[in-house]
Amino acid sequence: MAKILTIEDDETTAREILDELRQHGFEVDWANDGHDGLNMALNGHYDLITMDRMLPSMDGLTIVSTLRGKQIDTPILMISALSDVDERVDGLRAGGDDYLVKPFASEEMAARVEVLLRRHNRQERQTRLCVAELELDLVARQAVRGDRTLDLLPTEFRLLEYMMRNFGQILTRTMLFESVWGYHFDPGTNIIDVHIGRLRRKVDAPGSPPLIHTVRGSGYMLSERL
Amino acid sequence: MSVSELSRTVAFRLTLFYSLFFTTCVILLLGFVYWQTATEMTRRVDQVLRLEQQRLTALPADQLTDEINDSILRDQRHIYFYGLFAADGQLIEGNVRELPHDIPANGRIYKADMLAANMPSQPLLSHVLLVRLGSGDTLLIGHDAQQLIEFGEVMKRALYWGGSLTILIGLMFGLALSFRPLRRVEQIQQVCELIMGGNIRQRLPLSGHRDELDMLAAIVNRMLDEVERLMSEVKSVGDNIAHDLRTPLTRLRAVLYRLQQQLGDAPAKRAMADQMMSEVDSLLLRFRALLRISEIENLQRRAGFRVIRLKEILEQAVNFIEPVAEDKAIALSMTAEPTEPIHGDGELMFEAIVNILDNAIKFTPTGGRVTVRLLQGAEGAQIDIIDSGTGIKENERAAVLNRFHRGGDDLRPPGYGLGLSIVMAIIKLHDFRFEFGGADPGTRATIFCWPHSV
Repeated sequence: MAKILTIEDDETTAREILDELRQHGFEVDWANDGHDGLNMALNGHYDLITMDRMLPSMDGLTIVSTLRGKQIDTPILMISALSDVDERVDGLRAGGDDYLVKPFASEEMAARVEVLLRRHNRQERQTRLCVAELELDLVARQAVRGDRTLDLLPTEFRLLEYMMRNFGQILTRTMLFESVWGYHFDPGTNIIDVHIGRLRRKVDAPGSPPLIHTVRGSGYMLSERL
Repeated sequence: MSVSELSRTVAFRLTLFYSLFFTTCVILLLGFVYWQTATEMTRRVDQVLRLEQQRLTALPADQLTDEINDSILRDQRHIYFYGLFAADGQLIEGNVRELPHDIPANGRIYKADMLAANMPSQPLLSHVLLVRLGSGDTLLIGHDAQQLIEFGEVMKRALYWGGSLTILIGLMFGLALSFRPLRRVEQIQQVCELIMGGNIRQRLPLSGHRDELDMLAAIVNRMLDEVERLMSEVKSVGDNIAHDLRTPLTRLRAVLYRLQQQLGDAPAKRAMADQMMSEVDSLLLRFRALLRISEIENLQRRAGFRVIRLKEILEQAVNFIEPVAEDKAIALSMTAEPTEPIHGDGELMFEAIVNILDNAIKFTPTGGRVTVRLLQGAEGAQIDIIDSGTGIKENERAAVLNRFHRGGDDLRPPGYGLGLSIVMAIIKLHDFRFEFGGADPGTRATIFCWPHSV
């Protein structure tokens, strides 16, 4: 079971994060100030840290750079009320792995935690991704399901690649938009749904068991079964 | 600045009025001088005639012919007429051809055309008197009045040229005087247009001469300060509300989400929970858009600006929105001329273009067409997004760009207002200009990608 440290000074927000993560089956510790948080992070062998960007006694950015300076590469999810692009860039440059803007939907936070944990444990250098009978050849840029070659547009290929790399994980629309298109604003409309719909028609042909699933209220998941 | 504009200024009208008034005075003055001079000249001529009459009538009859001859010889300027006529009208001596018939020989002075003996073809206007002598002969003494006529001519010329010149100089002077205030008015007009375009930070220029225009401009500037203060107050209240409500809304959504997960197989309850969830989501979407607008408005103008290529951004945006168009069977196409790279925030430009494209597709009926054009104009790059939808009425085009505005008919899809407000905030941050125009049929949304402030 993964062990997570939450550094957050606002009790309500902390309670939300703790509840949500525990519900997902994680073991969660809570530090409500920067110094304690840094000490716990240095000594506690955590699999992941969620951290407020602005903390009393020590700034979130300082904690991240201190940890990275000590060669501790625990994945860090930065949570901040500052949504400015520059703030995001600063957070990621200091060594954060992902950046979430307050207020956030708890399942969005949980989904990001799951993806970070998964990314940390996997080999990035794969050239071939497989889920059930779906195969993605990253070198030949080719997708095959069973004996059927899928005719994918470049965007669809990137979307499928991201979903396959994170198979079995809930992926929110924002996460898909950020990873596939590289932008950080809220597209606001159902454009992502339309893209998924188009990909789904190609991947899940009638008759074959569906691989792309809609997760009610959250987003999408690629897996053999929901 | 045209002459017709200049001629409508107060300065010009005052100058023109003044020069007309001055010209009238000059005419009156010259007229008075003419009148006085002419009267005096006439009086003198008449006096001379009287003296001549006295001199000649006092002479004995036998010397009269010689004296008339002498007088004619002495008159080297040829301005006197003398004539001694017999009772039957025959000329005895003199330099006139004949006795004027219409003048009675009563010693009074008349004006008449005289024919000189040496110039019979040209009648000369003269002052003439006839006297019956004791011998029965008639004596004519005349004095040429041509000088008076010539003097009148000179006066008329003086009036004509003097008057014309005064009016002409007055006109030019008036135009010159109008030039400066009119240029100030034009500057003020330009600034006002910027302010009306939403650039509320602009202020009217002051010349420092403390003239009436400066006084007006200073009053307007104070008014603008107050308007700006009020606007920012209202806006910050709005932003604070959005900000404060967002956190409880997000928590509400979290609780709903948990409820949704725990409901299990109870279709009726699930449907209710789903509906609640979608309402909360649409609320959150609106608050996020509101906050996004104020976030963009508060961005430091040049902080995130880099050199960006519009063609790439447009291609990405078209590519991103293309499946939505395809779902509605709308033909989405793009043409791009080579354009200069511009200075801007690529992410924000992408957001703006996606928003415009999204709107264009929403308002275009199934089977329609949306065209994206990138053009290089003289001043810079221009992006046209043309749809074949219902179009926006000409009088609604400006209102559509305001926050929260939705088209008049409620049949239009939701989410129209805020998307465009985000677009406007982005365009303003870049100092570009955005406008809606008509296409036939449909709407043309255009971004003019070059700086528009002064």
